[in-house]
Amino acid sequence: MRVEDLTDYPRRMVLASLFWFYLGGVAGITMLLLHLTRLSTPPLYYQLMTLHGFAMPFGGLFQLMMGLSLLRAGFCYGKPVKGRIVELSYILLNAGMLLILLAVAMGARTSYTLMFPLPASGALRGLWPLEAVTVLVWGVVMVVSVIVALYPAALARLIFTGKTQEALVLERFMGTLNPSGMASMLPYIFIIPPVGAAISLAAIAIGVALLGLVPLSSVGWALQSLNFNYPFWIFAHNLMEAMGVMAIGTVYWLVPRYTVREQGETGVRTLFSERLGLFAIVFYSTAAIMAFPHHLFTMPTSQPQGLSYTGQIASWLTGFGAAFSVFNVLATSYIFGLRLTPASLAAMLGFAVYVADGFLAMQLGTIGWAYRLHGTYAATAHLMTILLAVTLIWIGALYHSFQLLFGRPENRKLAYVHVVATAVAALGLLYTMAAMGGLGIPRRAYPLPITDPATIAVLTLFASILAAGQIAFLTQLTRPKTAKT
Amino acid sequence: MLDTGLGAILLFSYLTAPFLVIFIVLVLLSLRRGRSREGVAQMSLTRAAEVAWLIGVGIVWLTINLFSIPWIPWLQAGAQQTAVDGEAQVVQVDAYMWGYKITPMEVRKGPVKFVARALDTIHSLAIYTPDGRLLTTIMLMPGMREEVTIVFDREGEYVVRCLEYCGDGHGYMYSKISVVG
Repeated sequence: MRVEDLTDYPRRMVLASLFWFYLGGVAGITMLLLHLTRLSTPPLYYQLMTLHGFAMPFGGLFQLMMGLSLLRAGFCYGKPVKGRIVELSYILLNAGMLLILLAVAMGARTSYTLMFPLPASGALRGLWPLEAVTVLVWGVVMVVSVIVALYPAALARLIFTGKTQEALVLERFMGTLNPSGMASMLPYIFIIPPVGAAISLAAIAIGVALLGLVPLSSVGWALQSLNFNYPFWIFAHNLMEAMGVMAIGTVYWLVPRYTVREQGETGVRTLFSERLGLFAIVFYSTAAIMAFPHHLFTMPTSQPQGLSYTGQIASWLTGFGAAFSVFNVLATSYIFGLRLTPASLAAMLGFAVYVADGFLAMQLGTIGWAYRLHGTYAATAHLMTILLAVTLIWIGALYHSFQLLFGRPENRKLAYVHVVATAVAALGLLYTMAAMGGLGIPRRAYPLPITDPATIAVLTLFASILAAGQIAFLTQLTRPKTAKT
Repeated sequence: MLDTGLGAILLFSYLTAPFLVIFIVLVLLSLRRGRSREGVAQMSLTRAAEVAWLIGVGIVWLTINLFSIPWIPWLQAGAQQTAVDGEAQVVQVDAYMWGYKITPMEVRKGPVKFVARALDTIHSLAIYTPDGRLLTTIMLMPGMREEVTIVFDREGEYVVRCLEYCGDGHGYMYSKISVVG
């Protein structure tokens, strides 16, 4: 067994994720410049918006998470990260993203949330060709099949099956409860396949009908907007929550590895409380399952009021899960002392951004406030920040495994620039967009009907800081192996 | 003020900015402790801090949730009274790519019941006060009909916008409702 058996696919996934991050990032900055200059027509802007929306969370963040979580499970359990399922996950995710890119190039501009039935009504109205919708749907089917089936299967296979090969065990578990860091992968494995099954079937049925293999009328059930949007939000909401839980687990994993002192006489470094960590993960994941109705609060007649109340209470209970984690993480670092490294800094800053954004998420998950904020930039602020926070935490995991993945240590200065710029930009974008949302500025609108150029300039400034951080990372990757660390 | 979008964001800033400052100070202290030769910090104090933190979070949680109950559209006093008395004026709204058919476009001050639907794809009915504050927003899904009662207590022109992305003309999709005395 070679270390390459652990690192080959994770490295490919990390590098492919960078491609999608950079492509999505260029689209995002172009969107801001178009707002500043008003040089574009709406179709071009909305094509960029759709590309940005698909590339950042799926091609970028999801793929980064997939690579690094498989690597972590691999080197903790001593099992190679390879085989058909891993290979297919990598190929299908990127092939699906390429199909989505092709669909956007063909004119599809549905946004990444699809806004169903917009793909169909847009085609009927002649905004984009039906062929673009077919390509888009099959791209989505491929990406979703990785998210719902292949990736959780690959993770489950690493954790539950096969024999440990001591040569591949690079990090021993620490803690007493099969540590909470690794336990955070379980909600993904057990929650995402069932909650994603319905929307996957609907997408496949629509895709098959679009290819003409069955009459469109036979999939009428999937084409009704309420039938589509409930399974969609049950899936999309829980996907984001499962990614968040896995990110919190990553903080639980990373922080004890950078503490200075050992706990008691056992000689291991653990969280302040492993039990509280495990409890937080179970509590958070369970509450999150029923929080999805907050996406549809603003349908006062169609959504049963009881479902809305459940959504509000569940949304706020996830906040409790986060509160347990805040205490545990800070207590761990304070009690045992923390070593400053790019990995520990990224994990801590990413976690801070995650929690700050979490309060906005709970506000959007409050029925009374949702009627004043839904559909505004406040919602964009929340979504974008949670993705940036989770990305930052995974950047911590990336620096933790940098030597293993790339065969040389990272340059510390460049790494700090990367981490700090990403954190500052995330907070700057969060507060600026939240303020825009408070003023009622509609999201996903071009041209923006109510705003002043200064606000867009501030957004552009923070987006540029974000871009500078990513350029620092690109410089890091392209440095010669012999360069100074 | 708290029941507005701006109020929500101000509260967000007032709560999260101090949180971030305290978080970063604690991280800096942790890094300093990491460099010093001090031993493991006192556990008993940490347990007390844990209880205090969780009680504090619980109080904020409960307070905000209880406070927000009257802001729920269907529980607002005016809307409830109207449902009992049946006195609201009724406005029919059809949303389509990229405009609204609003009947009638002029209403009197007081409770107004909006009966709205989307004809082609998802839209929303977002109503802004004459001074530009977002009063409420309703998501409209094709095949469904939404009803909401709003009490207008000021005369003037209320802008109506779509807040759900609905294609190329989304940014231009707006209309107006006049509220007269």
